[in-house]
Amino acid sequence: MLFNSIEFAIFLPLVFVLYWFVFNRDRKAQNAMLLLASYVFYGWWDWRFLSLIVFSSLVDYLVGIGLSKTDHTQKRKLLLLISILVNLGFLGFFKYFNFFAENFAQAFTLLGNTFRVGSLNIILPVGISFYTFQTLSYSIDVYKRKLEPTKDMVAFFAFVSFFPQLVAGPIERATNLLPQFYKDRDFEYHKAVDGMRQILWGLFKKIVIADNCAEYANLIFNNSSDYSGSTLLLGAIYFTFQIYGDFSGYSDIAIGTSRLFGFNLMQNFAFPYFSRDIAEFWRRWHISLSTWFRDYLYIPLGGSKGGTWMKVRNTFIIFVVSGFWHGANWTFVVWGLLNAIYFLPLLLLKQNRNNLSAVAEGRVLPSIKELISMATTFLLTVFAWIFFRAESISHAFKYISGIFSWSLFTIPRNIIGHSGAYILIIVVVFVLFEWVGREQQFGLQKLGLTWNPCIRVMIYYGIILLIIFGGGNQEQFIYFQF
Amino acid sequence: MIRTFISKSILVAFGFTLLLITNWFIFTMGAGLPGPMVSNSISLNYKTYFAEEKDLKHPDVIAIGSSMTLNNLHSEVVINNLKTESYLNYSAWGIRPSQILSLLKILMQKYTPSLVIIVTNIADYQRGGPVINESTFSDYLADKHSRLYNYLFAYTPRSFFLDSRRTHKLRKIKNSYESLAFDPFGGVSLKKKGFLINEKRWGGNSLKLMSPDSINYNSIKNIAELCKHHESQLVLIQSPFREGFLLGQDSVDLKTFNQHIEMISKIAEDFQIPFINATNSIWQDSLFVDASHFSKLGAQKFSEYIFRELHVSYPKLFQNGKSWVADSL
Repeated sequence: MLFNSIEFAIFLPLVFVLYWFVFNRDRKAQNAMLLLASYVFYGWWDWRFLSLIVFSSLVDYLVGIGLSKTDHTQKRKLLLLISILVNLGFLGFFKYFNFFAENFAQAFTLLGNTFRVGSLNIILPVGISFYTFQTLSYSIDVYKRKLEPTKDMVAFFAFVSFFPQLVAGPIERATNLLPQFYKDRDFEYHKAVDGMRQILWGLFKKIVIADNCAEYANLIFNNSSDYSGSTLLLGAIYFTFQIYGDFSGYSDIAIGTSRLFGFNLMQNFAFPYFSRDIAEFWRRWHISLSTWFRDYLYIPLGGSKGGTWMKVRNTFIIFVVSGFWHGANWTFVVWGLLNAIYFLPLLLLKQNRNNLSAVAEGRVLPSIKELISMATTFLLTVFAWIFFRAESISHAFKYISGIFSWSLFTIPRNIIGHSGAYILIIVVVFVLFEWVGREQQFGLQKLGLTWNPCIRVMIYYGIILLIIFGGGNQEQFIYFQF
Repeated sequence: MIRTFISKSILVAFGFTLLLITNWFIFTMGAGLPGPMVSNSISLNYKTYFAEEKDLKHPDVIAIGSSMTLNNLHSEVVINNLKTESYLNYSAWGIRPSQILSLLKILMQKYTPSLVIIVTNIADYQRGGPVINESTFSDYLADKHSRLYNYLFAYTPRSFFLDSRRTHKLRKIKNSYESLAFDPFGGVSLKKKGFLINEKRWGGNSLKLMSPDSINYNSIKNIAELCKHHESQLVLIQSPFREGFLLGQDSVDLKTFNQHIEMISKIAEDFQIPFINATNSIWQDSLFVDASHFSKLGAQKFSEYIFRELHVSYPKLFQNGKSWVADSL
């Protein structure tokens, strides 16, 4: 079920009413109801893959119970290994089997041998990368004794499959989300209103920004050999806003929806395109994944405690793994590598923790220096997104060589019609909204709260009208494929 | 607090719904809903709506195809000659034989016509045409989904509004190619008076630019099989071009055209389908609104020609003075 579908528009109020009016007397009943709703939400796409979530949840639940009953180090390690193997096994099979098989065969061919590996017609279960990491975090935290293993099966299953963030995050840590299932939840009016505003803003980002930009980004990337350097650059910028609107829009809807049910999810995006360097960008982009890799990969590898070589090695590992997490294609690996290369100078010069607060904090406008830093970081990310979006490495290189040609200094043609100009205007207005709200959790959070309620409602209506009439063709959320 | 939240949410939603309805009313002047979205063709969608409204349980005769069938087949001539009013013209713009096949497979589940008429010309055999959502179309025709369900789940609000407005506009005009002003049987006669003749369309595309695709010839064969299976009589008609257009074509262009005619004739012969090739006669420019679309008068003369030829070449179709007999050939 998509957030931007009529099915969800019916599903959400229905679940909300049942949750607060029918099952409100008993927390366990509420949890059971959320679990059922989550399975309906997921099964709407393909009910067969529900078995994967149930199995994954069951394994980690039993591993948790097992860990609680033993202090024997070897047994504990074995239990953790079972959890890791089952979860990463599913992920590896569904997401990476064909990739490895094809590359294995190609490597043999390069060595002069013929090796045929049949590829399987595997459907990638939606959200597998997200819920796998979420449930893994539970096993690892219990193993490290950071978290008490749960005996409440329903609460644990509901934690793994919690519908607002099941298919595209934020990837919640068990230490944050699971305890919320143990507590009684009271309806908080202001929290719910704030949630509604965040849902509205998320829908705007997805339908108006991302879907509109997608039309042009797809057109330009799919026919890149036909366009001038300036148009190709514009195409990369369109994609930059598409992926941000798409993914952060989803996160906003997920967080807002959770708030309607009394849950708090972690912030997943903190205005990343206003970052002053690439390290700040990675503290603000897909925060739940970055911190997951930091906590469960970078730190266990030694983090930055070792010498320079170890820091560099660990940095490259997490960026490459992060790239590979996104998809079984070399383009994602190169995208990760490129970001590691961007990050390296900051790490070596110990400048990677320079910009911890929001840009131009307490001020309306940034300084010239901040503006230049933001523009540079933005262009670096635009460049990296080309690899992320391209069909193949060669496509990405052709695209980039197309940009760096004399035609870069021409006016983009055949693209900027009436609707192209409309999208650019909408993007500029959107960036202004985001700038104004950059010290909040999301762009619309505080805007107009002190204004006359009638004006505020008119603003909401304006945004809803734009969502309905100014949106692009409905596109699947990009991150569903990951 | 939760009741306040819900009542305020309902109030905002109600206000917005009111705004939407007002907008819709202003957009469409309160008249007209689009057809159920069974394809990306507003014409086919609206034809589906029309057929549903007409509520013919079992039409004896179905004409189906592109604008060649929609505009060039004169409904009154058809019903007068076939002596039945149980007739439905299920044509829509740009429908190719491959799409006719898809539609007929589904339509035959609901309707059991004894006669199926398809009027085409060479341009209909090119690749392309509208995209039909077969499962939606099938579910809709089988009454699995209501029109309201279709409006809610197949349309986005934006496409619903835009299609409402466009359908409403096209239902009123009769002097445009894009007219959806159906006669009582689903046909559209193009009024010559006041018709804005499009110079490009009057000139028509060169015949050599029309490259027929084998998929459409195969579809005609499959349609023949399908009709035979359902005991329906199929009749194929080749619609002509205006005289001036054909005179402007060189011999190379005409070669493609003749090959096409041979292909259709061969299929008709193999499957024993009555086939009328109207390009054997000369059709004056004054009967057309462009290279291949007849005006109302042209459509009438063309349709009369079809039935004259059918009477002469396939007299068994019209036995006992009452329409035709399906298995009489």
